[in-house]
Amino acid sequence: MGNEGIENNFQMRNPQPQVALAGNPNCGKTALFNAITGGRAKVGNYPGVTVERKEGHVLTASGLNLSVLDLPGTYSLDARTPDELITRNILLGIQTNEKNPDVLVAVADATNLERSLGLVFELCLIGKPIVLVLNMMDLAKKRGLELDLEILSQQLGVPVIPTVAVRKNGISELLYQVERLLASESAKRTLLEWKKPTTQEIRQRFAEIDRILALCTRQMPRPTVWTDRMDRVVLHSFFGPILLGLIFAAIFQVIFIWATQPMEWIKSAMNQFGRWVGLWMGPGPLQSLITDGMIAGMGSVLVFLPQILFLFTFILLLEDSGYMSRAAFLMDRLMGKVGLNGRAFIPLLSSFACAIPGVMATRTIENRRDRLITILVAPLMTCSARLPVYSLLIAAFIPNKILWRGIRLQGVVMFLLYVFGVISALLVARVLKGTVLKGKKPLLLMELPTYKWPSPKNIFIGLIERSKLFVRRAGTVILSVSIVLWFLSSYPKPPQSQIPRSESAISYSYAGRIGKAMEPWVKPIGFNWKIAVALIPGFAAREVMVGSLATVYAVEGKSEEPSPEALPKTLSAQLSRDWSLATALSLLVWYVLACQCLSTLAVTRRETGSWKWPAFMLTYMTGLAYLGSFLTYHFAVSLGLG
Amino acid sequence: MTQETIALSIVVIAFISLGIRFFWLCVAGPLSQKLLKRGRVKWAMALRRRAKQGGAGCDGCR
Repeated sequence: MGNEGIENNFQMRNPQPQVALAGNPNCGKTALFNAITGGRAKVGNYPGVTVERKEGHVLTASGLNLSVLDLPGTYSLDARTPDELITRNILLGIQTNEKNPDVLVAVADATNLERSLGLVFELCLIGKPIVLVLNMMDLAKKRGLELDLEILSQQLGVPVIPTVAVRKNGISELLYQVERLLASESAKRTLLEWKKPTTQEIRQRFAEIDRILALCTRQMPRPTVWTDRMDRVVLHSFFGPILLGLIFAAIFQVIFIWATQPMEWIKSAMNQFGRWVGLWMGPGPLQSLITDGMIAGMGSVLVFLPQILFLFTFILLLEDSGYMSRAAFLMDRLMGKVGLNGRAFIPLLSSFACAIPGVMATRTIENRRDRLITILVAPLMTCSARLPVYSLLIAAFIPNKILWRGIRLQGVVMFLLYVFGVISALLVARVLKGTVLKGKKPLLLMELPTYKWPSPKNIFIGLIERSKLFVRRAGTVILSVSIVLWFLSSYPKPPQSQIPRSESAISYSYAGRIGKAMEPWVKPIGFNWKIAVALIPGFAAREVMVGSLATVYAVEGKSEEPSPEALPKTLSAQLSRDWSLATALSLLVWYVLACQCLSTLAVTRRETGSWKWPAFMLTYMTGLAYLGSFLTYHFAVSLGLG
Repeated sequence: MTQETIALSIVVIAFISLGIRFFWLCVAGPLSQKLLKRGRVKWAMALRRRAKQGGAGCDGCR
């Protein structure tokens, strides 16, 4: 039947056919989905649950408009997590408000067929038309695997298509097979009933898989020697954690050293732009808004873009190479001491970028209590939004001296802040596990992918995306907050006679009044009213704190009379003049522990289904931050640092 | 138009922008639930479709 015939035959029966992609996690389903749909997906949620629903469309060569559904990965139809349950229900046609897929595309990892075919067998039992896709064929061939696809297809009774999804190889053949199946009689089959297999049936299934693989494999893949050799060191019970610590310590050192020059370039570009605005525009409120509000506020955050990019380069390198799974495995022993398993560390690792995807990644945790605990402690992991605040305070108060052989004190302090965040998360998890959310420690069962060279293209795309997000955030939330804060810091303007000599005009403004009202509450932890004012907009985005401080100090600098000493030009210089080291340390501890992110609270509400847990998160984190800052400040003062 | 007028107009726009963001982030979800309970299904679904989900605060960061 030619292409036109396929289209005519099917279109008469079903106007919008749907193809569902199913397979084990990490088999390349999403890469295949992106290759088929061009990466254009409509992302939403399945009704009643927080599992993400990803649907795209493709117009085939014969003009057929197909809907493509990317299902959450599962190892078996015997579901244990919300994700896996959704996949099973959709495949069995019993998911509420979901269409029954017309064709199933079973995606298998060609480098690990023995495990992948387990799900394929179960899918064949459902009764729906299936195409088997062997993805990552390039990696399998590199390792020497030679398969007779015809024999495999005959044995399984389904068409088999080899693909390399990341290079879009095999996609047109796949779509052709899908169209053939849609047009054939098998598309009209009713679903067979699924029941949970017994242990005996599972053994028989895998024996059958072994038999089929023995028939169709002409040459076995070479064992992953390098992966095993490297894992002997990386996963060593003693050397493994040390290596993990050294890798992250090195990352922070490099971030500080390499990012310095690009940050200077951005800083001078911002200053130049501010001077140009001053020349072009006469003095007045609009000039003040642009220079002291927008440029000072937004610019002081944008300057940290190089550090963010270097941090993400390393995170992406570690993820792409396969090391991050090993990090989770290494952390399992430590996580076990607090009652969680290493799988909970994967969302926590994601939280190093941002707590929001970290909270969403907890959907893969089976146990509800463990999932809640991970959600509640994820914001304690130092996210990238804290980096500008840490960098500002470290630059202002920590000397940039070399401790030993190129290791800088500033890099060490940054690393210690990250470690402090991790330790806090683990301690809080321990307390929660022993009190409010008691339960047993679950077993860890996870797959470690083979090591591979990170893809420069993936990393480059990831960095471009990251830059866009950071700049967009600076240009939207941070810019808006800076403008509002400029207004609150500049108005109302006091009558000249009413400003005492010892105070600046800013203390008369709305921001000054709010700050002064809050000052009694924050004085015990070493904060002044300016810090109090800057903390409030920090809820919109953590890094806004930097912009807020820049705006408050810029407005104050303008409103003060010129003094014999030249005012410090940079924000960090102003802070080091104005604050004590004890205050800076107290603020750093506050920032590690406080829940300063409205978006995290919003996503926690969504993932937990009520406001109870976000309220609990805000309460305990604020209390912890206050206590931590209080102790830090007073300890530092007792050492003479106040 | 004076500098002050332009500056204050920009401030008003910034206030509105933050207010809209706050609405979609924190208010739209619970409001759509309430509308659903009162039988206003169309409005509730329209709100849900547009409400920022998940990565709103980090603008869809991974």
